[in-house]
Amino acid sequence: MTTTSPVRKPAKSRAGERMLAVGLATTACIGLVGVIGVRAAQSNEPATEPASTQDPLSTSGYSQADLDAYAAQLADQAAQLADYRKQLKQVASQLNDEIAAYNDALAAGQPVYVQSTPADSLPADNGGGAQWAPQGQQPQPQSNSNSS
Amino acid sequence: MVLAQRTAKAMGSDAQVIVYAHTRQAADDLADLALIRVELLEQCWSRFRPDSELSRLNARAGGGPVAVSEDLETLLLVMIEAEEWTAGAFDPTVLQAMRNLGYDADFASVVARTTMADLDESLSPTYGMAGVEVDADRHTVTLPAGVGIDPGAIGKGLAADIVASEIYAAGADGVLINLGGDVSVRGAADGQSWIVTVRDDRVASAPTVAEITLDGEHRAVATSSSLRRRWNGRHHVIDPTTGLPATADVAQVTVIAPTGWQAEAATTYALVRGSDAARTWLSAQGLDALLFPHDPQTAPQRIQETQHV
Repeated sequence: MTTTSPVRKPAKSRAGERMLAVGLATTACIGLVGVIGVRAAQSNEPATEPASTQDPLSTSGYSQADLDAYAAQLADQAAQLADYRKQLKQVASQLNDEIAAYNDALAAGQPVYVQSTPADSLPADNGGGAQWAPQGQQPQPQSNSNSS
Repeated sequence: MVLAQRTAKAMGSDAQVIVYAHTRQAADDLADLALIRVELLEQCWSRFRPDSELSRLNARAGGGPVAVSEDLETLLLVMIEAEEWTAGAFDPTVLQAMRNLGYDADFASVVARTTMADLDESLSPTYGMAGVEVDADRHTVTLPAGVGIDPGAIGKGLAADIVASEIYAAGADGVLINLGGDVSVRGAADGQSWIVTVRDDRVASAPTVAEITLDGEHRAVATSSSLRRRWNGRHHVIDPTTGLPATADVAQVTVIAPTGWQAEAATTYALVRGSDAARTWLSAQGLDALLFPHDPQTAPQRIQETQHV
C-alpha cells in the first residue's frame, strides 16, 4: 500500500524540468520514449486505419464481417485518440496564451492576478480512497498495492 | 498554482490524477483529459473487455499478422523490452495460465464465484515473447497459436507513464498518475517533491514503513504483493517457469525506478525470483527497493540505501 504527498523542497525551474525529462528520455527510458516518439510522429499515417488492416487479416481466413468489425474498431479508437489530442492541444494553446499574457502584464508593471485554491474548498472525501491533508497542506492521495 | 484532482475506477483498480497548473481551467481540463486518456488505454489494453483491441488480438493468435494501433504496439514493444530486461521473470504470455487458475474475468467477478475448477498442476510453462513478432514498419503483430497476452500490472505502469508525460507536455506544472499503486509523476507538486508512503500489507493495520521522495530521475514507484488479489488460495503473480503462482519468499515489494513500467517489471522480478536473486538483480540495475518477506515479524529489507528510501 502506498500513499503520496509532497514535501517542501526548493522548486525546480520549468526549463530545468524539461531538460531533465529530455535527459531521462535519452538514458534510462530511451527504449520507451523512442517508441513513443516514433509512433507520435507516425500517428497520422494510415497504418492504423481500416484499409491497412485488410491485407494481413484477409489471409487468415476470417470472414468479411470480422474484418469489417475489427477495422471499424480501430478507426473508432483512432478517432477518439485524435479527439483527445485535439483537446489536449487546445488546452496547451490556451494555457500558453494565458501565461504569455501574464508575463506581458508582469513585464509592463501592470497588476496581475494569481489564482489559488483555498484549502477549505477541497472535498473532504472524494469517495475514491483518497485522503486530504489538514488545511494548509497538500493533498495526500492514497493507493493500494497494485495487482494485475 | 492551482490543484485539480480526480479519482475513478480504471484498469480494475482505483485511479487517481493530480494536476497542478497555472489556471483553474487548465488544471481541471488537464485532469479530465488524463482520465479520458486512461480510459482510452484501458479500452485498448484490457484483457477483461472482450471487445478490447488486445482481446481481439489474442483471439487471432495463430492467424497471421494483425494490424494494431499505436498504443497497442507501444505496449507490446515495452513488454518485449521488459521481458528481456528481467530475463523472463516478467512474461506477458501468461494469459492461458491465468485462465487455468480461474482468473478469467475482472477480479470482482472471480472472487464472487462460489465454485472454481481445480488447479491444473500439470500446466505448461508460459511461452515467452520470443515468438511474438512486432512489425514496426507495417504496424502489425503476430501471435503464435495458443499464445495469449496479459499485460498484468505493467499495463498500469506504462499507462501512468504515458498519461503523465502527455499531460505534463501540455503545460501542467506537476502531474501525478496513480493507477492501482503504480505511481508516475512529472514536474513538481506546487514547487515541492512528491512523497510516496509505503505501507506493510502483511499486517492488518498496514502501518507505514517508509517514505519515498519522487523527483529527478526517480519518477515512478510500484508496490506489488502476492497478498492481495487472492482467490481460492491462489494469487495472480505467475512464475513463467511453471505457469503457476509464484512461491518465492517475497510477499511484497516496492521499487523506485525512472518509469512506471520499469518499477512494475522489477517488482515482478522480485516476487517471482525471490529475495536472493532480487537483491543481486536490483542492485545491478541500481534500483531502490524494499523487500518484504512473508513473515510479518521480519522487517522489510532495503536493497539500496539512498536518500530516496
